Amino acid sequence: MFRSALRLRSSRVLLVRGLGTRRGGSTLDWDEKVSDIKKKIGSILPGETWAPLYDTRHLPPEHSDVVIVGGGVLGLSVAFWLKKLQKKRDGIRVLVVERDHTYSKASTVLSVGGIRQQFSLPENVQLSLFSVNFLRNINEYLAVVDSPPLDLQFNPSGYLLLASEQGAANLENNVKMQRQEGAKVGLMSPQQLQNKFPWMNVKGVALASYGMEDEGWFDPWSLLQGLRRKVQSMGVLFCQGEVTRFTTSSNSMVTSSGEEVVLKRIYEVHVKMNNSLEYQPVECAIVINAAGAWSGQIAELAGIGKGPPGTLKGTKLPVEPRKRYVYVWHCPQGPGLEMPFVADTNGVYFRREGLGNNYLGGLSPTEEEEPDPINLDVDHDFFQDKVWPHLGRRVPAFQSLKVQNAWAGYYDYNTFDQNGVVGPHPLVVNMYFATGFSGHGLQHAPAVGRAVAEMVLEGHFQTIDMSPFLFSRFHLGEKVQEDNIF
Amino acid sequence: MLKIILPTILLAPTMWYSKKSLMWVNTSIHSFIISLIVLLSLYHAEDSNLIFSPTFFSDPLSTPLLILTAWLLPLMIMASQNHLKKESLVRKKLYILMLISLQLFLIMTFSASELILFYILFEATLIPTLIIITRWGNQTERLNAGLYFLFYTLIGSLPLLVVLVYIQTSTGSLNFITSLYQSNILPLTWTNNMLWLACMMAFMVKMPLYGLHLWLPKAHVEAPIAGSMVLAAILLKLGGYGMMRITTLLHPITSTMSYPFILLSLWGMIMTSSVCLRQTDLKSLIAYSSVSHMALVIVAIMIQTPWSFMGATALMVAHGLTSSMLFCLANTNYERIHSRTMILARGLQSILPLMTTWWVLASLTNLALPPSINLIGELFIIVSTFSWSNVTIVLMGLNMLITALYSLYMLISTQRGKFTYHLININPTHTRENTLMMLHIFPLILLSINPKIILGQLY
Repeated sequence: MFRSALRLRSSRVLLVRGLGTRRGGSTLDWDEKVSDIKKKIGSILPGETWAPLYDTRHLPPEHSDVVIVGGGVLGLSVAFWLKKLQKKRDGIRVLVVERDHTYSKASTVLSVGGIRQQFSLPENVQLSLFSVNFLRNINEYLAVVDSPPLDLQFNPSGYLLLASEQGAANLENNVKMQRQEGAKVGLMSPQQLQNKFPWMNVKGVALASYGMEDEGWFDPWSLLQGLRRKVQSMGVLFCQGEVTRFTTSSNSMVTSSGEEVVLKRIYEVHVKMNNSLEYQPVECAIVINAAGAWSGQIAELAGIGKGPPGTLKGTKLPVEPRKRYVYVWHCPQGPGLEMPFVADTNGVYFRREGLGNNYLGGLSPTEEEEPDPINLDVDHDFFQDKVWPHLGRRVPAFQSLKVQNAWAGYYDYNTFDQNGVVGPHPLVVNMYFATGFSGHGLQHAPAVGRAVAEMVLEGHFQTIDMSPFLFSRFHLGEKVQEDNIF
Repeated sequence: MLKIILPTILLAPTMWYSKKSLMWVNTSIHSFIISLIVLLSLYHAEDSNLIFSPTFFSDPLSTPLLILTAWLLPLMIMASQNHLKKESLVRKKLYILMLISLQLFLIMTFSASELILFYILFEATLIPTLIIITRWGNQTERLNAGLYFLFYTLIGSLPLLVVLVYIQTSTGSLNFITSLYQSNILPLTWTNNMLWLACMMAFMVKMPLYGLHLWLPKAHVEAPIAGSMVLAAILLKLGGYGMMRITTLLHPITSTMSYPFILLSLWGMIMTSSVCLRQTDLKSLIAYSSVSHMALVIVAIMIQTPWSFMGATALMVAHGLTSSMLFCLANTNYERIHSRTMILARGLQSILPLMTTWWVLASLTNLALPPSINLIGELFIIVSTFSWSNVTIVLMGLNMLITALYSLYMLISTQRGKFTYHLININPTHTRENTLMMLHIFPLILLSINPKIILGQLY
């Protein structure tokens, strides 16, 4: 009665809250305000992050010893080894800056996931050998307390490289070198090939090399997630943002031969948040460029390549994105389980995908036919015109197949010699590279990560000598050409 | 005393109204002149007290600390020059104003003869330090560090205010000069135990005592160089100085109540030294080494023998100079590579050999190498604690060993070995930095020749 009297009287004036009633959607909203106040007090207490003016939890810290630009498998591998090889706990503070946390355009997750030791350079073979050892023992390296073990779905089915008459001598030399390094690779004649793989048409094949152990393919997404989990448990900070600027300080010095060089050092990295103008300058001592297909842009930000061409100052980082297509097809009469990762004489590659008669493969286009890397749209005509004829010729069962799926990914293509760039830049003294692997970065990631971490922490490469891969070779013109690129 | 206080107050307008090009020069030179005035006018206080007025006086205990305070201001100003380069002129002036006001409060604190005045200025020194740490520190954690610093000290010192007012009303005066002639013996009651605790906690937090030292690594690491220097060199000694003054009023409770604090300090001394061996951050290592040295001073003051008081005063002055010098050295590293992590700056001897000389001298004095005054302080303290209890010799010996270990570890990991690749383009040592180091080590070496001026009242 009292309440109804109030309501009647107050209906003309103001809406008065009834005694003891609480309407949901009330204008005062006490609950939310109280929890806001509690959150504010909680953030002021010692031990919590507190910024008096605005919330900065999404921003990276103001200071980090090492900033790794790029959160793909190479960047995370460097972070992992930096934390693993530090001699004291919390010895070095690492921040990984990744622009896209969904990894929608990253080369790592769009990769076919193969790993092989069949390279033409001994260093590449050693890198692959260490990496496959890492992958086989992944749960000892990447174990995190209370987390389930990783399953990389490693299919050790081996690689089969086919060579025609012209390439046979090269293949034989390569295999000899690989066996010397310790890879288990064997040569096969066309007759042996036909006996082992009856589904193959061996016309035009003069020699083949077959990797008998430690070669195959695995799931790169699991490796990435495993690395992320482990690296976060080791104390590496992650930040979602884009690197927009490097603040550098320069020193002009004179070499022993009297020549003047300007050595730069990056002391601040501006990390810009996505979809906003907000940026955070992160003070750093070392920057690691592991940005994959975009490494060239990052290098330009640091001023690498800004100078008269032909000099060391004017030598750009020759890494650019190249688009590569991968097609998945279904073929019930196909080769089945007994099928390695086949790389044909003309560069067409294909492998089994899963257990449902699906296969995937592709072909690297020639220089003239390079697609525009501006987006990741797939050209299906490329499959029709360039890939399928070769597939049908090599494996007769593939003459009738149905394309299920296709995607495109970027290679961080090194236009100089298609091999990675590892190590510090001679002029920008605290920028280290771990990029440019042109399609075989994923399989070398653990070993390259360790090499870069050794370079940062010790000052020289300790386990695998990667000095042929330093930046200075671009200026000196010393190519370390890798032939077996698909 | 006014001839010291007025020039310090007037340093502020001198700095504020200087031309931009002369600001640093003016402040440095004038603060040098003030430090020379302090040196000369207080020098003859070694045998007797100098009673300037009912409010200010200086005796052989406060004189070395006053000289240290005045000496440190030009050094702080020189050390801050580089990292303030990029700030606007008003910010630079504000920073130096904070330093000058801190200097003023500190000079007045050390020369105060009334305990309430001492308390007011003791609290007043917190404000400029807090502003320096939270505004000009380098990282986000500085806000947290400032909070810890402020609240630890405030909470510790609030009971002190209550007790001081109580003593004032019950005995009528809190003046040091007259309290020396009072012979009030505090009876051993629970209330008086609380009184003792209330008096001592403020200074224990400031020293810091091992269990209450949490603010120190944070504040030292996050503060800019001048903040670190003044914190390590002077503000910690405020605690020691206050304890020495107030124990004259607290006889004879100290002999029973001090027992747990002596044990805590002895244990803490070894614990913090051991923590230093595992540090990866250079400034953090030096901060923990400060805690370790100050634990020695707490032990000395608590056992209250003539030798220990001499050791405590000597160690306070020596540690002030050494710690401040180590922080300046760590700052030279930081300004070059923008990181305080030890593994990123190694092998500096090949690149900056003169800086190595300063590193060597600072590390050697830090580990109390004879004949430096650090050794005199530590040795007096070790001898007096041995007479207090024979067992402490084991702990003290262990502490000296671990101190030597971490000082040498710091020296070798930053100076020796192959240098990291990205050090090839660091700037050579500036003259300003060399001057700074020399002005730190010069008094240390001179005092080794005549240490009796820092041995305090009981020499």
